[in-house]
Amino acid sequence: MRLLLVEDSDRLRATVAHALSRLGHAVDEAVDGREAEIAVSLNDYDAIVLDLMLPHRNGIDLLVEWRRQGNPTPILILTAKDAIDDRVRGLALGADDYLVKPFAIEELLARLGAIVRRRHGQLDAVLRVGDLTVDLTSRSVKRAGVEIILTAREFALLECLARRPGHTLTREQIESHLYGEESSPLSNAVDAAVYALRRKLSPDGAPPLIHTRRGLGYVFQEKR
Amino acid sequence: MRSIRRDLAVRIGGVSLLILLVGGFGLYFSIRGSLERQFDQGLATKTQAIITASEIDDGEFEIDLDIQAFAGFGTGDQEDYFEIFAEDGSSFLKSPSLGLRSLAKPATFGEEDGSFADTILPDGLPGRAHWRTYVPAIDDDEVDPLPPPTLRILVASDESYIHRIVRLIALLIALVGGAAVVAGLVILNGVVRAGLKPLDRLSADVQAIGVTDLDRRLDPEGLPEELNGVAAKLNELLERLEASFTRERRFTSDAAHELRTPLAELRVMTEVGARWPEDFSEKSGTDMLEVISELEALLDTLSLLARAETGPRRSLELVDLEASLAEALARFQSEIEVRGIRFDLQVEPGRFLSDPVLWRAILQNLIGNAVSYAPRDALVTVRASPEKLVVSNPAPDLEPEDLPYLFDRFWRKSESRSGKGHAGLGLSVVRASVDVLEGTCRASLDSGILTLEIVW
Repeated sequence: MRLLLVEDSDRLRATVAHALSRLGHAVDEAVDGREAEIAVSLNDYDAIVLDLMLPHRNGIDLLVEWRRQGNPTPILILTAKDAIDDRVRGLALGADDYLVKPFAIEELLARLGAIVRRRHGQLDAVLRVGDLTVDLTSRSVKRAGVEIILTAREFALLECLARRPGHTLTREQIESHLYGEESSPLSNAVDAAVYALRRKLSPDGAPPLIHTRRGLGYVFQEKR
Repeated sequence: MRSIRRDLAVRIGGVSLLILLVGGFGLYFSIRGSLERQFDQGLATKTQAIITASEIDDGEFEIDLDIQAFAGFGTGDQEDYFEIFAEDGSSFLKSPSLGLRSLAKPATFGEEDGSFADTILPDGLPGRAHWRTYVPAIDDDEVDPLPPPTLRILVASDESYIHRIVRLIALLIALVGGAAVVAGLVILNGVVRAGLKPLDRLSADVQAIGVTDLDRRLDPEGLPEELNGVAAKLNELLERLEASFTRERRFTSDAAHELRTPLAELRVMTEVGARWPEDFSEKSGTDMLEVISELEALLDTLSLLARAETGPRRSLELVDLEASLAEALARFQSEIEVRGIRFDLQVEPGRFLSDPVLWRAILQNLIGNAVSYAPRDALVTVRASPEKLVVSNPAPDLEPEDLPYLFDRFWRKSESRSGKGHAGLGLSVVRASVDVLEGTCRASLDSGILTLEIVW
């Protein structure tokens, strides 16, 4: 997933971003309201983690502004304000979930997964394409019941493709979901990652699931 | 439990009953006395009539019969009697109403002339007796008469109708009095209830106010002037109570809030370290220690604040003004250098009596705030003497309307944590410490220059 983390505490932001990246997500960081505004205007995120008390422009303002503009990106509020009134207000103004500090990083991830899933109209945390199942919670992948071991980056790529089966995704889209604002060092990084994932998903000559649309990008589906 | 209504009803009722009893008895006795006096007067008049009607004519004692009958001493259903006794006490003459019977002589008969006494009449009825000693007149025509005899007349009349009237009056007074008592109690109850209604309303209003709705106030509208002051005072108390509850609640929630972000940092850092131990570096350890130091500093501040606020316990010692100021400046030396802050110091050297811990807290918070919140390269002015400490620094972000909140706990101009290491407790620590040292602190803002002045 490509995530935006808006948090003014440097240490917390850096640590959470590190943990999310380690789990294969592309994370952009914003230290205040202004940076967050710019990041959202430039990029398309799967979800935003938003602190409420921010310098320059507070989280509630940003939330209201984004929702007013029709931005549907799932937003999870992460704040030290624990009063019920604050939570209700945040949710009423268009946030998808609310997490009070201190929190477990696993819970943050599970909640992010849930709000993204809800946004895609999915009921459970398992994506199914043909005989392939992708469990987003346990981050495990099986093809015809046989477990496939993937790296965090490969899993992130699979998640990005499998969330939109039948849709053609451009290299740039995939790249931004995988690497965020970091520029990928190699221009063919996406192609290489797709190649590696494709091989792992089709062991012993099983039918391929990732198909190349020449000049367009890639599509994830059972049949060509 | 005592009740004003019951107390009032019992007291007013008791006093009214007493007045009614005394009044009733007074009325009874005065009517009875007046009736008896009138009766006695009548008796004396009748006696006088008999005396006047007595004369000795041709040596014969006689009383005009008409007068006798007119005065009521005749025969028939007459109820007045007289008997005249000679000097030796023998019966001399009886009224026709007596017939052959005699009048009973009262015990005091003969002792005092012209007296009255109760007696029993010959027919057994209660009567009233009156007696007089007199000398009957001699007919003027008599020539050389015998000296007239001295006689004693005893007159008695039936008094039973007076007793009946008196009994009737007593009954009337008792009945009217009883009815008045019953009616009085009913009316009294109603009056007391109506009179205490505003008090009942006030009491119900006060009882309805709980810890959760301290924002409610008593409505002085319609309250009598005796309770208006009470309601106003209670409202004032409620206001203070609400403010103090709000402050306490805010303090607790602010304190919890201040702990949440560092705890979140520590938790995520620990989780990341446990999950990916290979990523745990020296920097990670330093970061964690930094969070812990911040938490420690926050706890130190909170306990200092608690110490200052829970009771003015101070231990006074001689403090060196210059040395303590130099110590505070040294503490922020690196920040002063990084931010290019300049100081204009004017210190009156000397020692003065203060609590060293509280004094250090005051100095460090004032200097620390000036260093952190003044713009880069700003000039901070410090004027210190044993009686006064004044710290001024440019504060371009501060507005005059911020001044009232400046000394509040956890107040910061911006809600975010960008002012790292400042939980918004510094100036509240200053105020609490100055309070314990029995001084005053004041903040003023003049053309963007914030001046904090402490005087004691």
